[in-house]
Amino acid sequence: MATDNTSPESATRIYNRLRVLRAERGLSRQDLARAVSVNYQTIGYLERGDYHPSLELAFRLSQFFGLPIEAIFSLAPFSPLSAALYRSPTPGEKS
Amino acid sequence: MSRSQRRVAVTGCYLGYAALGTTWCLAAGRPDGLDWAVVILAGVVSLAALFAVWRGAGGLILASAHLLDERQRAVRDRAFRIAYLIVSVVFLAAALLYSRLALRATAGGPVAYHDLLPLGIGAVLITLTLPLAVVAWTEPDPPEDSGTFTKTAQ
Repeated sequence: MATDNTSPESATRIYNRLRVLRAERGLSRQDLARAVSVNYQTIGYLERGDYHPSLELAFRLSQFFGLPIEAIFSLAPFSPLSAALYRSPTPGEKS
Repeated sequence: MSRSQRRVAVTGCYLGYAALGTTWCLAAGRPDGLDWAVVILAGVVSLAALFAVWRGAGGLILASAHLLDERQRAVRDRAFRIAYLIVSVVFLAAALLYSRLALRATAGGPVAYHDLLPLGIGAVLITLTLPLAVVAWTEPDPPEDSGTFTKTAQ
């Protein structure tokens, strides 16, 4: 059954790190949109979760950022990067 | 334009159509000054509202497919899908209304021109403008800014 990517309220929620990744690289939505050949408003909708990307667009974003798709999109909320960076290691865990 | 503003425009547009068609029907082929005033006012309101709807959402409907990205094509396809369902219901209702008018006419003879005209015009207007209205009604508010970031020192 085809999924209507424009109705995220009826589909599974997909979380993303697009805004964070853009901030790290100092990119505007227009810059990123130009790089992956979409309208800049589509980048905004993606970031807000109002639109889910197709597989092709997800791959283009992955290629642009040089990251695997699961580092950009996830079915579960991403933990804050600060928590991931500064979390105290548990006993026996490598730092 | 925000989604709430677009919804007001869509409501104004179709209420204008309804007022125009109803007034014309009730005038029964002999509109007086008041009827003409209502028809003209409803027509102007509808046109103004349609222009506002067009400004808010017109780009998606008329643009060629190759100029739209995947999200815009999906929005447009969904709008035409929903509009098709609504138009089907509207045409069925119009056909039932026509049957009722025909029964009212003498011995099942032809329906009066002034009864058919608003139905015909309304059907054409609705068919032409519904996909645009669906987009204007359902599209979320656009992202608030261009999302520009200042490059941090490295």
